[in-house]
Amino acid sequence: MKIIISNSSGLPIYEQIKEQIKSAILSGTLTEGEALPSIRLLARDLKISVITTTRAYTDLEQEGFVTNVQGKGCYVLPINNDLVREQLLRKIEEGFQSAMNAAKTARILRKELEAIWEQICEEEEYE
Amino acid sequence: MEKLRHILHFDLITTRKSVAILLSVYFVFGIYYAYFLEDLKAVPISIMIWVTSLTGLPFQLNEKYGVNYLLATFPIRRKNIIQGRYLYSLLFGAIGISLSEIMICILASFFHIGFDHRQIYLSLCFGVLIFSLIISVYLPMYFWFTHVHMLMVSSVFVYFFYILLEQLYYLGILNVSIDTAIVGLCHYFMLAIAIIFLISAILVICSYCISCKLFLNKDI
Amino acid sequence: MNNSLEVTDLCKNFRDFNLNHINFTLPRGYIMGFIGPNGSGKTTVIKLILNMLKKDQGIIKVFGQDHIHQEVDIKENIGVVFEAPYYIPDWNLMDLEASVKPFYKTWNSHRYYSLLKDFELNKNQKIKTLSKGMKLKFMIAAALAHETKLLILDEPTSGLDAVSRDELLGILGDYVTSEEKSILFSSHITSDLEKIADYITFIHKGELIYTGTKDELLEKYCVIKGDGSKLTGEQYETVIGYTENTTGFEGLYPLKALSGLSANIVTDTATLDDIILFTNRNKVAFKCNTNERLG
Repeated sequence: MKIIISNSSGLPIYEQIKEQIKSAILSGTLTEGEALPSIRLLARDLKISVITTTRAYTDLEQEGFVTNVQGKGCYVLPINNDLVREQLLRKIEEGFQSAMNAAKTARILRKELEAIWEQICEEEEYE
Repeated sequence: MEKLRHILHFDLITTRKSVAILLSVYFVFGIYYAYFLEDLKAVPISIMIWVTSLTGLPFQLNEKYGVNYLLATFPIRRKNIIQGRYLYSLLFGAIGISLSEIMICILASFFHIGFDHRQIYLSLCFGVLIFSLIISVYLPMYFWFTHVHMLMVSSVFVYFFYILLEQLYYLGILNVSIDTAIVGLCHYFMLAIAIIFLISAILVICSYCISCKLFLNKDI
Repeated sequence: MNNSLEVTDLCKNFRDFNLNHINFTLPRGYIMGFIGPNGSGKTTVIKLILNMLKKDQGIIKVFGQDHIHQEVDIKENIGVVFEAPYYIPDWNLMDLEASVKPFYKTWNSHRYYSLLKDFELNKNQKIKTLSKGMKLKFMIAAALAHETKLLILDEPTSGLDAVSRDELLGILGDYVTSEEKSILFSSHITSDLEKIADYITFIHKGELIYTGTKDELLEKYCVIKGDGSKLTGEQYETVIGYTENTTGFEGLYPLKALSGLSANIVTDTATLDDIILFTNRNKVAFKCNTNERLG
């Protein structure tokens, strides 16, 4: 799989790596049991610090996406539906929080906010 | 011991070009003495003095190009560097002696000049003494100041001092010269040689001890 | 032996400059960037490690061994690249090999020549005819030709163009893919270190300002800019390297204290250069890890 780092994206590099690997796992590009590139090789290829890649992999392990086999490397774990749900719920929360912050700055009322939400649901035909 | 050989090898590669040039200088001097002065006694002394000037060459080059920084990264002790430099100097001393012997034999047979063996050996000893003296003074100075270009300068200085002494003798101003000393000492040949070598050895050893004291705790 | 390099309480006094209580540790398998403005003492520390200068105080351990008592063993396994090649300019690259090879037990001639070939260097070329970039490459070839566990680079990239610097980073990246090998990289071109360094040690005027992971350092601070009058007295004191001009002020600010700032003040991520710059501008000496103001 390809991992692309952007220096200007605002997200710290280890977050970018995490997100990309997570997306790849959730979308099926990375399958269960597949090995991730070694921490050091990844750092070399991306021309970044080994500690950054280590951190990304450690976080992924803690969040349950991969497992680290000592001496062999990191392997993708089977997708845990609860995990996925938790991840996506977190994303939704972050999205809502973002919207809330923007609303505060623009002094948009709650009613207007809800109206925007309704409109989006209708457009997407979301039940 | 091995490390010394490596340092020696290192310094020899540094000087290899200059050796060729300076060797030719020696031959010129030798021929001058033999042909114009018909005096072979001066040959060993001259050669030894010029050998000392050659000895300092790698040290000067090292100083100029910062090679000492490089040597500091090699797996060798500082003491090895000092020992290597002394060994290198002594090696050139030995080369000087051998060169003198060869030169004298060649010149004597080529120009058909007779000579007294004892005088030649004594003059060789004097050459060794002068060599030891200059080296013993120069090396500790090099290890302390590390930007001393004095070796070549001092060699030239000593050489012209030697010529001056000879001229003053011929002019009658001085009663002795190195040449007359050599002739006079022939009577005490073995003793003179022994004493001269002893003095030379003591000079070099003292100098080595001083160099160690100066260089081992120095900031490069 | 988990650490390639341990420097504890290192002090060295010169006539007009003092190195005070430098402490840092480089674990095995990582790259440490050694940063600080010119004259801050970086080269001095490196020379002290190599026993070129005699320390006044402190302990230095390389591969767990004392750097003076086991000097010879340690130097068998160290490769050093200085700013300039300290070789005789008349030598060609083969002479170099001939004179340096005997010193190292693990010198691999084959590797040396294949590195020269990779770097597109002609072995018959004289050192004085090499360009700056080529000089750097051959110095690296000489440093990598024998087995090393620690590579020390002292400002090797000053004067190099971006292409050569990038090539160097590639070579260094390859070097640390082994978990056994570490690099100490002193540079004032921080953009190189910003990418690949794992740890950073920041020295300023002989004082240790920070040592730790690079990520931690960069996440500790940000650059703030705006209208100086919007700062409270306490906030003004907290700004590092406060600089005022006609458009407003700028300075370095700890991320932890960001919350109280007025909304009109812009925050930007801090680069290593920013950290060095603002620290230098700061009138009062301070240390990053203790958040203590000194002097």
